[in-house]
Amino acid sequence: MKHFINLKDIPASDLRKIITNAKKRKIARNKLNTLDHDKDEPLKGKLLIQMYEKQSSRTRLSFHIAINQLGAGSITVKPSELHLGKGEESLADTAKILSTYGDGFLLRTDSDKKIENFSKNLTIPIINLLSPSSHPCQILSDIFTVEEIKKKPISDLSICWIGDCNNVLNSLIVASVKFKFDLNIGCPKNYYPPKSILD
Amino acid sequence: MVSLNDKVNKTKKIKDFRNFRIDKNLMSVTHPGSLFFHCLPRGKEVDEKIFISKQSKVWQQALNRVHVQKSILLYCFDKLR
Repeated sequence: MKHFINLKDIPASDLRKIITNAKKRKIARNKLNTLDHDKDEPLKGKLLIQMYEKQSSRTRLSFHIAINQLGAGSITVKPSELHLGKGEESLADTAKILSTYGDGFLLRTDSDKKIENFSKNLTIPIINLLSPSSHPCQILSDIFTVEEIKKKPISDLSICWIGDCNNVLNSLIVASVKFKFDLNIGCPKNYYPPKSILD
Repeated sequence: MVSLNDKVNKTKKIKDFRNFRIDKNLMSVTHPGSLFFHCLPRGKEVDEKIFISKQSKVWQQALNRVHVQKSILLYCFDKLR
């Protein structure tokens, strides 16, 4: 089992494998309906538990579909409904419960520390659905889309980001190193990416 | 993209980014085959004409989240083939 928290912690070869696999699977289910399972149902019988501490439209819906297509099931829990959210249970105990009932935990949170603590206490994989410091699912998906349209590796293209220095840009910067592509950033002087990310 | 969450001074931030809007002028200096992406939700940082133009791939970008996230899940379960 592996966690998916930050792109920097994942070998470039594995990130490339994810993109290649996505391409094959997308082509293979060309004529299937949204909730039809992929033929091999690779996650049949698995339960993925999702929790969103912040708003989400695309991530929530796209993961719901993704989980279904792999043959797995999902449940979304609200932080306010868990004992953890009310301070009545420790994170370690909550992680133990999630690991007992579920096969994977998907978390969108406004605390990087919380993801780190969960990763240390869970015995099932955790996926970072967006944290203050990164948005790895978005960036990996964007690389896939660029290559799908341009029909060439992203390393042959020049990417430009115009806008805020935020979690999405942080992940894009890391991806530019992992996938070896040119990245130009346009932002106001006071909004430069933090040195820790650029290093 | 400009992040305007509850923790920032929205008026100041919009002012700071006034020269960083994605509009026709900016896109005109890019490569002829250039693409426009935005992870959404959008604000006023992108001109409507660019957002709905042929260069804009925002809906394909959103759709592909499904496909890549499936492979991310498989990575986590050591089932990438």
